[in-house]
Amino acid sequence: MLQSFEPARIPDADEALRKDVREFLAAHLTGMPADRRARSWMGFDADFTRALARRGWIGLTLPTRYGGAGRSQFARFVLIEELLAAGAPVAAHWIAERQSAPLLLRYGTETQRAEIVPAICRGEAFFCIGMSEPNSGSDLASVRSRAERAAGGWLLSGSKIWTTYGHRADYMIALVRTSGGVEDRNRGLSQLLIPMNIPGVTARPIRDLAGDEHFSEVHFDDVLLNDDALIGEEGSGWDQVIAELAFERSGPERIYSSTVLVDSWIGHLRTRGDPTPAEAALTGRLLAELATLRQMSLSVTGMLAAELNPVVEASIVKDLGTSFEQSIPGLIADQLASETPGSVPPELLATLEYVASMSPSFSLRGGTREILRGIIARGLGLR
Amino acid sequence: MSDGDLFLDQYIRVLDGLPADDPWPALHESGFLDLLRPEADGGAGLELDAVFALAVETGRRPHAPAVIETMAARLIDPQAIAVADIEPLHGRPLAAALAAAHMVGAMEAIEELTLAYALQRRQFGREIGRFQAVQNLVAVLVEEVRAARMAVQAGLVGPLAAISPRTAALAKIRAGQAAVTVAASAHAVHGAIGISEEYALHHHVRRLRAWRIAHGGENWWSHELGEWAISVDRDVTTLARGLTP
Repeated sequence: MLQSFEPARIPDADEALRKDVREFLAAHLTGMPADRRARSWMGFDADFTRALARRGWIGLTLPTRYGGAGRSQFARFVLIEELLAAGAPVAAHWIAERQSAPLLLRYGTETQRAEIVPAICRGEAFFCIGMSEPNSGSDLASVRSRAERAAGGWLLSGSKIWTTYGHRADYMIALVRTSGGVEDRNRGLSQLLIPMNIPGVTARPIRDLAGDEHFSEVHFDDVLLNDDALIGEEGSGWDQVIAELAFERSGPERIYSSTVLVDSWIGHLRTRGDPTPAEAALTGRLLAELATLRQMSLSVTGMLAAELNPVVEASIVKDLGTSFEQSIPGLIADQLASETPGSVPPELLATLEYVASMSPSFSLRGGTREILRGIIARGLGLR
Repeated sequence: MSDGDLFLDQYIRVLDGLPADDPWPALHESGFLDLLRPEADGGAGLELDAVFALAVETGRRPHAPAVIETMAARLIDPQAIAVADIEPLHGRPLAAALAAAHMVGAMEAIEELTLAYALQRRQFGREIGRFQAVQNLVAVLVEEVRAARMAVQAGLVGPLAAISPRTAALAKIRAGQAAVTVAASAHAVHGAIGISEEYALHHHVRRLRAWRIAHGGENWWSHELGEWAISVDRDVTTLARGLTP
């Protein structure tokens, strides 16, 4: 059922982190053009990730004995809000920090917890998530990759596709079938931890429409895995994945994907001077929507901090947030179209071009808009 | 139970017991009209968060009189009664923020009506809420109602006099934007019954429309807010943080 969005406030001790993060970003992002920063959490930079790790800012909410900082969900909100708003290249550690480490802490073996989670926090273990397959997209329960019991472990065969940074990851956590057939749907699925450098695993990048290589296809040809590759319980993969997706969907990355573009455009208005009434009105609208979504995201953070399970609420914020992010390039393009040809700075145009071309992905990644609305309808008792 | 909850509970009973012909003597007698006045003057010195809750309850009831506006008017004129427009007394930001709070109530009532109808009305052998196309309409309606509530509620904290034009802008822009989608989706789900006089939907929607265009609409407030934002040389995230107390 749907919980109400209670206003939440960031505690002063967590808010205090903002100043340090801003100083760090000012020092590390100087000279990086806006159209690079617009890649936001799709921008991969292992050096940047390690610099963040040296400040103790990867795994902020994770327990200190596993290399984390033991801080609150609100501290993490402040950190990632600043990283995203600035367009910091955080992709290298993003999935590991957001999803994989919490999952391993909850379901992993003590060896995995003690070895891998601290490596994630040091920025030395990058993760990808093996969900989609060539014939399984939104219908995730139809996955066909299959692991059979073998002497001392598992034998895995199959393929994953559209896997974010699979070709640069050290590990994959994959949803695969471990019993039954496709007709058994979400029964018989399990999550496996797969080192990407072992025999039989191949990962190839797929070039995206902006010319980047952020997603990939991954093949498993009789990959032999140890017994402890199983994460959590055999056959509980579906429930574990659903819980994991709530983490994936609840964060401010569903609000800030176009922020670099907004700041570049408003910066241009300030430099040029004399904003038109239409430009001022659009600025006001974008600002009001951002403030609203930010408060909703904070409210979901409050639910996480209270150890509630905001699956439906996170879906609401993600659907609203991605609609907002997606609307921005079209609205700004229409304003820029009123200007004298040649007068708009090339960097702003390049940023607009990148965000406009990638923005359809905002409501695909992590669950499509249509799937989210189904989740919301279920939360309302309509299905 | 906090003081605010207690007031809210009593307020709901008073509202639901008002005579239709002339509600004002009963309201006056209830003491609610003076709740915003300082405790020293016989009031309760209610602040914006408590006023928000009362305004939402008022907005949910399609025939409730202008209680909240009258409460605010009595801060200036203790004898005021049945005051519908407080903009001349308190300025546009407070008037707009209170209108937005009422809109949240009206939209929540519309959400309840629509959800109940989608689960009750059967076509093609099942409840219409079982169809994906209808689920889509209802999901978006609910998203808009939650967004509007958050935008209004987050800013309404502290004393009435402290309300900033930025907070009012946030509230009125987001509530007004939601009102358009909420009204259209609710009517779409209801079909012909929503157009009939006897059904409650149009009373809610009529008031929602009136509040939307009172005290500045989305365009007026967006322009105000945008001019301010462009004049302050800060990034949009910092500006967004500053819109709520």
